[in-house]
Amino acid sequence: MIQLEAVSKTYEMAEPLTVLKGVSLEIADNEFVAILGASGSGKSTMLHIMGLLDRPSSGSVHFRGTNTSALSDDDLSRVRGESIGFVFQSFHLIPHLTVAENVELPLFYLRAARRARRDAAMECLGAVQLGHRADHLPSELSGGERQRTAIARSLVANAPVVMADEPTGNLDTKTGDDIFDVFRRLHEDGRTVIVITHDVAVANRIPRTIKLSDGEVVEDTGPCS
Amino acid sequence: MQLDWMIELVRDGLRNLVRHRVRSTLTLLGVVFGIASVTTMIAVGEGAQRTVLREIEALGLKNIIMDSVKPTEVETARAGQQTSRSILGYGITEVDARQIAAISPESSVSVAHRVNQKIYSEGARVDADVLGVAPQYFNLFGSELLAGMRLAEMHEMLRHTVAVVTPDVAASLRGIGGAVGKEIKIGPKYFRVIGVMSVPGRTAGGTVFLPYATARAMFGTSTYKWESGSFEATRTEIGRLVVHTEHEDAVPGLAQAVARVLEMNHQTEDVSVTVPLDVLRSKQRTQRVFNIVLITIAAISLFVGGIGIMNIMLAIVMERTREIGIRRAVGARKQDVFMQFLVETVTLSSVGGALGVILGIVMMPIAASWTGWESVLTPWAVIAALVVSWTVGVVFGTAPAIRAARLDPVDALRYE
Ligand SMILES: Nc1ncnc2c1ncn2[C@@H]1O[C@H](COP(=O)(O)OP(=O)(O)OP(=O)(O)O)[C@@H](O)[C@H]1O
Ligand SMILES: [Mg+2]
Repeated sequence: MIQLEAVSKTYEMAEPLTVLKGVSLEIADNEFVAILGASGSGKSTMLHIMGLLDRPSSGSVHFRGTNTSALSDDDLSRVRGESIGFVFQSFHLIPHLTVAENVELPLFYLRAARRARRDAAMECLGAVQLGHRADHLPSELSGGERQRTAIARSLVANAPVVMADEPTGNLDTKTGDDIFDVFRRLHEDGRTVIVITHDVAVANRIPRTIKLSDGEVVEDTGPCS
Repeated sequence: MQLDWMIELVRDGLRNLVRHRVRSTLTLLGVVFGIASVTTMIAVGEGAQRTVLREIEALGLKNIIMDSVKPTEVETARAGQQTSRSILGYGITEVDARQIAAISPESSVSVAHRVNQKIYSEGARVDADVLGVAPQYFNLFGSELLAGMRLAEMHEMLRHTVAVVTPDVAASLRGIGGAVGKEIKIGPKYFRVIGVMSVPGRTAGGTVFLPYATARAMFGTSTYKWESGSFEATRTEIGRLVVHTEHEDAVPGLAQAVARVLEMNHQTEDVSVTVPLDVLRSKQRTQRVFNIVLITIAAISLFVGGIGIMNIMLAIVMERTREIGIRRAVGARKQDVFMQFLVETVTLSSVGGALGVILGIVMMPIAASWTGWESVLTPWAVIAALVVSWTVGVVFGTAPAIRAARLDPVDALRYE
C-alpha cells in the first residue's frame, strides 16, 4: 500500500536540518500501525510524506503501486482527497463551517453533488454518534466531539487509509480511549490506519509499532503476521 | 456541475462577507462610492445630453437661423447711426435675404416677421412671442398639427387675421371647446385662432404665428415705444431668417458664407446667427470632456477601492492560512483554492457594485436638482457599473488568490 525507500527530508536553512535520514519501510493493506518517538524525532514529517502532503528531499514514495514523484501537485491533491483521511492533534476543523459542512469537505473537492455530500456526511456522523450535532459549529463541541468530527471527515470519501497525528494529544485519557476504539473499529472495517502517539500503553495495543529516533527508524515490529 | 460549484463558492463568499459585516462594509466603501458616483454621473450626463440633444434637434440640424437683435447702446453710438430723434433701424434686411438666397440656390430661405405687440385674450395678458411666417416655415422645424388647421397660402393672399398657437399658448387660452376658434387681441387687432401646432425648440413662453403677409401689412416694420418718459422708434425689416439646406454637410460652408454676407452688410452686431449643428458639435465636445473627467474620477476611486479590497483579502488569506492547509489536506487543488478566494473577492466587489448602484439611484434626484438637469438611468449604466465592479474584483483579487494557492499545505497546517 505505502512504500518509503531511503526517504530523507532536509529543511534548507542557514544550517540545513535533516529531519528524516534514509527511512525505508512498507505498510501493507489493512495494517494498524503506531508511530512512536521523542518530540522532534520526525514523526509528523514522515506522516506528511506518507500522506502525500509533503515530498521527500530524496528517496521515493510509492502509494498503491504508483511512484508519487512522477505525480503533479494536482494529482497528489486528488489522491489525498480520494484515498487518505487525515486526523490531527488540534482537530483542524474550519471554525466557520458547521460540523456537517466540515465533514463534507473532501467530497466538495471530489465535486460530489450537494445532496450526496450531505447524506454521506450524516452517515459518517452517525457512525461516530454525532448525528445530532450536525448543524453546530465546531466551537460548540467538546474536544472529543471535535475529534470524532475530524474522524468522520476522514471517512466521508471512503478513503482506504486513515492517518492520525497524535489524535488523542489534546484529550483526557477516557476520551482518548474512546477515540482509539473508533480507530480500532476502522481497522476492523478493513482500513489501513496509521497513528502517531506518545502513549506507550496505547501503542502496545496496536499490532505494529514503528519507532523513530532522530530521523531514523530504530524499531519496527514488522508487518503483522 | 461547474456552475453549481461556482454558486457554492459565491454562497460561501457571501457567508464570509456577512460574518464580517463591519469589516466588509468598511472595505467596500471605496467601491460603493466609486460605483455610486459613476452611476450618478452617467445618469446625469445622459440626461443632460438628451435634454440638449432634444433642444438642438428641435432647431433643425439642417437649418441656419438668423434673428434680428437690437444692438447695445454703446455699439449703436460707435457706429454713429442713432440720433435721439431718428428711427433706429437694425437687424436683417431684405438685401441680406436676397444675397443669402443667392449664395445658396439649392437651399430654401424662409423669413419670419417679428411683431412686438402685447397679446390679450378676454382681457387677460398672454405672454408669448408673435411671429409672422409663411406656411412652409413649419416644415423647417418638424412641427406637428395638434388641433384645428394649418396656416395656408390662402391666408397670405387674403391677409386673413388668423393665428396658429403653440400648445402652451393654447393652454393659457382656456375656454369652452379649447383654443381653436377663440379670439385673441394682438396690439389693436383681433385674430382668430385656427390651429394648435407643436413647434419644438424654444418653447419658453410659447409663440403665436400669424400669416407673414398679414403681419407685415398690419404691424409694419416699425415699432414705437414710450417707456418711462423716453421715446424709442425702431425698424426691423425681417425678424427672423431661416436657411434650410438639403443636407447637414452643406451647413458649415454655408454658415461661413452667411457670416461673410452679414459682416459686409452690418456695422453692428445686430444679427444673431444660430447654427444648431455647430451647437450640437460643441455640446458633443463638452460631453466628451465631461466623460473623460468622469472616467478619470471613477478610475481613481475604483483603483483606491480596489487596493483596499486587495489589502483586506491579503489579510484574510493570512488569517485563514490554517483553513487553506486543511482544504489542501482533504483534496483541494491549488486552482480550487485560487478560485475560492477569487470568487470571494469578486462577490465582495459585486456587492459593493450593487450597493453603489443603489446609492447612485438614491443620489440621482439630488444630483439632478443640484445640476438642474434631468438624470436618466439607462440599463446600460447599471450593467456597466456591475461589470466594472466585477473587473475590480478580478483585478484586485488575483494577487491574494495566488498567494493563497501557493501556500505549502504542511506550512499552512502548522501556521499558528
Ligand atoms: N518547516 C520547517 N522548517 C524547519 N524545520 C522544521 C520544519 N518543520 C519541521 N521542522 C523540524 O523538523 C524536526 C521534526 O519535526 P516533526 O514535526 O516531524 O517532529 P515530531 O516528531 O512530529 O515532534 P512532536 O512529537 O513534537 O510533534 C523538528 O526539529 C522541527 O523543528
Ligand atoms: Mg508531530
